[in-house]
Amino acid sequence: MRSSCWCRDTLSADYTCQCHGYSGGYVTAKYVLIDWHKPRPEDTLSKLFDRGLRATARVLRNRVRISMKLWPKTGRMGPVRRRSAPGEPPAVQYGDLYRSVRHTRIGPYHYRVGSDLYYAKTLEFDSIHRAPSGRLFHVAARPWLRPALHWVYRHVPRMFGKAEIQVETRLER
Amino acid sequence: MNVAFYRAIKAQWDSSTGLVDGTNGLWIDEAPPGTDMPYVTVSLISDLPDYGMGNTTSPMENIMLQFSIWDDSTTGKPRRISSIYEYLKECFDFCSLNVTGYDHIKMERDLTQSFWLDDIQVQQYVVQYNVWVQKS
Repeated sequence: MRSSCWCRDTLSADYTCQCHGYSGGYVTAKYVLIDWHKPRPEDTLSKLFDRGLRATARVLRNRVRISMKLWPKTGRMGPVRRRSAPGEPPAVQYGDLYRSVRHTRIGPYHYRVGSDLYYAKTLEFDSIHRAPSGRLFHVAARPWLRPALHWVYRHVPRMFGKAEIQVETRLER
Repeated sequence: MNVAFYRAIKAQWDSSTGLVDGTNGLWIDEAPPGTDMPYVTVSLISDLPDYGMGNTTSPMENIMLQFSIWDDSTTGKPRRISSIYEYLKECFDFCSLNVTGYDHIKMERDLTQSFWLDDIQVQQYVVQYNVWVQKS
């Protein structure tokens, strides 16, 4: 009897597939049919991990945006809204930084969350500027990424815990 | 918590003669205008409570803390900022902080980044620490 492995290598009765070590010698036609529709375990895992990471990146981006827009700010009044005080995430005035925070997939299991605005780094870490009078003045940090990242670090294991449970239930079927 | 924590950081800072003698002080968030370099600023980035195992009475606090070393000296080898960084590491890496009302568990360095601000010719070292304290 001939059957097939997940790698679509056609197996003879006494043949062991080299890539999966999957022997076709003892499977029945019914099992072959089920196995044919079953996703490969490594595919399922990689897809789920990638999906988990994408969800994590999205959560991080949303957390950053929420911290900018919804958390109350206690600084001086700005041109549009109240400014952030040192240590608080920056307040949204015109929304450039808010809109520039994106998550992008740059490879397998690799997502990037951040902003390409020139002043994003200045806000994240503190900085020093020169006033028109020539005097240097210090601008305290308004961290927008690291508090969100800190929160996500704490909750990522839980998210992946859910992903693992999904993997297990899928493989059980 | 913040006041006690900053006091503990300051007490630890004062214990290092290299830092006290080699810099113009430690400032919270930002230094006053006109402060001569080198100096160090400290900011609290994030503070997350951890209610692990249903522990709501004395949760563990995970604090992310940032030191910034500022220096405008561009001469000398090794650079002045590097020696301040070494003193900072020596002073705070796995140190035992005395935070009033809290048991100090651990303080470990997480990240170091160097920036060169070209327009004003100033070097900045960002040193980030993770601190775990628990209410006693």
